[in-house]
Amino acid sequence: MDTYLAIEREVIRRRRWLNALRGLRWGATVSLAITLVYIGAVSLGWPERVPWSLLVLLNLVSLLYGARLGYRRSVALQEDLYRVDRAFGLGEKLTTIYELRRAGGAEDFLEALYRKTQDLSLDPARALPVPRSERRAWLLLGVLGVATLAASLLWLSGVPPLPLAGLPFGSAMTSARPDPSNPAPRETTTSGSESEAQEQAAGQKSGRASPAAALAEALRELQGGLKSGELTPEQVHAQLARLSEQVPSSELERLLAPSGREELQRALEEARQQLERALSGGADPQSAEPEDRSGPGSSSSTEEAANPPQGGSAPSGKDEAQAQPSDQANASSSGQAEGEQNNSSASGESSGGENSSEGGAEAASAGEPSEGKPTGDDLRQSSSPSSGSGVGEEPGSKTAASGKQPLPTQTELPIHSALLPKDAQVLARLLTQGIPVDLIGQQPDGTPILRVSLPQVEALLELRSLPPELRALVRAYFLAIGSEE
Amino acid sequence: MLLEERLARSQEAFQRLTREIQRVIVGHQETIRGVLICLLCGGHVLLEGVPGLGKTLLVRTLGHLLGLKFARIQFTPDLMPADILGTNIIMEDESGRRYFEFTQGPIFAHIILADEINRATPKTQSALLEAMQEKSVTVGGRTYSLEDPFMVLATQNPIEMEGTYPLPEAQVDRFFFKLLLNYPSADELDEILVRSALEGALPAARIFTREELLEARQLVSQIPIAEPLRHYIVRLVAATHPQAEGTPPLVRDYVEYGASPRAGIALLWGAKANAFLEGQLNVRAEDIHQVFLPALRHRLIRNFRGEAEGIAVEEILQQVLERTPEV
Repeated sequence: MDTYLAIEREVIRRRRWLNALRGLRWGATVSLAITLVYIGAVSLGWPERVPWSLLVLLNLVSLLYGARLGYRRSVALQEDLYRVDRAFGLGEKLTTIYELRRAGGAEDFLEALYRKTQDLSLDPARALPVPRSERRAWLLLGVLGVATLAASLLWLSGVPPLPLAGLPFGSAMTSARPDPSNPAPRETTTSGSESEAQEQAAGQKSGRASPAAALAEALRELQGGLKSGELTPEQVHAQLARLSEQVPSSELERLLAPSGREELQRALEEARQQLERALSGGADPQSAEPEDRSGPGSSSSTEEAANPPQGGSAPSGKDEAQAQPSDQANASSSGQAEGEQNNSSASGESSGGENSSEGGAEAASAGEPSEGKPTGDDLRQSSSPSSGSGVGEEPGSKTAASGKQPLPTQTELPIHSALLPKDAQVLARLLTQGIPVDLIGQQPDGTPILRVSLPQVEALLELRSLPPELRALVRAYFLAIGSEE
Repeated sequence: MLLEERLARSQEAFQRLTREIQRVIVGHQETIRGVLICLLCGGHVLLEGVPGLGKTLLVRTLGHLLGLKFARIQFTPDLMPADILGTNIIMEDESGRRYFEFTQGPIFAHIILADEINRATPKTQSALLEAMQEKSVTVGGRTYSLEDPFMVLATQNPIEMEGTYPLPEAQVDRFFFKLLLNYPSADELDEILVRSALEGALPAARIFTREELLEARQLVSQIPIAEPLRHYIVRLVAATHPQAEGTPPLVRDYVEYGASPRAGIALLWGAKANAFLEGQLNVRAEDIHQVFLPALRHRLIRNFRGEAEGIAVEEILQQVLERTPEV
């Protein structure tokens, strides 16, 4: 009898273990589903405030609850004893003993069966192995779990939190910035945490950011990088392509829907206005905005961009551009000084370098006058023959003259020498490789005048297979920088 | 006395019985075993085989060895029920007064050999129905009980169908087992020839008493069977029904009527008796497997398609056995 009872206990223990394993599998499945939902939701920017610890806690609860449910599941002891009987060739003795103990009667047969089984020594685990279906399910679950973990790690390592509610635009641009071997541009960029903080601050200021706003933010960063020379044209193109890939399709579909178009247009208009403000150095966007653009949003800009003045290349300009860096190095002592203080700052603001990055980010996002970043206002001032050098001057003081005039669709882009990289090779690449910008002249103070070829921009946009709304936004961007005076 | 000792003694007696039968009957071990199982369960046996295979000899040997009252009824077309059951005849006492007295027929024996049962008319065949099922006969408004043990062993020839009356299904169902006798192998035939030259083919001694048989029956009835095995029997019987869910394809396609509940009873008791003969204390799945075919082969009725295509009942039952899960 003792032997039978010991076997029965072992069988119950084994069955509970198997049930717990099964419950654990279900818990793991639920846990995996929770993780996938979480990752999916994060990638769509929903659970902005849900911490990882909550996810870990949910997973643990799911696993433990599943295992507990499985363990407490009722055990069909007779069936398991029958399996043990069959596995060890016991002639159904254990099952019969169980039956006689339960039903009572036939005491002599029960005693005889006890005597027959008293020398048994067996391991019920052999009779009750983990079912093949269970093993397969665990294998599948393991593969899925590892894949999810790998994807999460890759995603986390390559894509830090981004300006627009976690969308990976900003991080993609951060990762695409110049390599660490070039320390000068890195000095101008803020650290990851600082930029995140700035981005979050910008996001908080503008409320819950939309994908279009994030796009505008990303393009603004591109603009900054382009102007400051941190990004080569190839990098700009590459990042534009990445931007197009990273825009969530669901968001695009939503934005492209009839109801979403208005929102997108508003966002595009807002982005355009922010670009205007950034370029005009804090000028009142309403006063700086031409009346013909305040109508149906960027569509007019798009139409204008479709028929830009032809800006063909100027061989002579290119020749001049070869010698330009050395000239630029001596062109403006004030600009040079500012450049040393802050590579990304071309203005001689009293706020200095310590406020430049932070202030620039806030200004860019909130539409406030930029104090530390090079702005289109500087460029406009320098492009104007009467304005002289814009370096160190208050940008807002010039916007009254330039901002009230309608923005022409121009393709000339004067760039102050201080904004250009000191590295002549970088400049050469900028001027000759890929980017549709031609050096067409030089101002008396040495500021080169570049011309953006909008047809080439258009051709590049076509090549990038960007979504239509994104393409319009990029087009608006180039129109905006092309419209600088 | 311990249960094991009682069981061992009874089992030893049946082993001796088997050995003695095999001294007379060459081969046919499965048939002999089936007959003994039916004897232990109080069931009746339908033996089917071509002439000359030793059907009658087997039954005669069994009756002789058991020391029980043995009767042989040769079924012919002109056999009447009274020839089996007995009849009231007019008697006259010393005072000249006449009265009816019942004269028992051959049915009033322990072991009945109903030879070539399918040659008798249905009316005569049906005379056996009450005796086989109720173990009693009613003649002239009076019912007479048959003494226990009562066992009918009927034989029939499957090839000579002219002038025969196939047994009705109701009667066939009353047979516990249907056992088939096949042709002996060459070695067995040689042994038959050797023995036929000897005199006194039947063993002289009776080795089993009626009381021993009844005690063995009691032990068999006590052998326990576990619930999963009972459920297994239920699944096996249910799987022979073509309209049931999940039946094997052969059943679905070729069976008109499945096994009756009597089949389940036969399986249960047959398995118990088989376990007893194997020296086991309880029923095993193997015991059910061993008695499955003899218990069910005469209870399955094939449809027209099955008969036309010559699908053997054994083939259908084999598929049922293979496809029915034990647990």
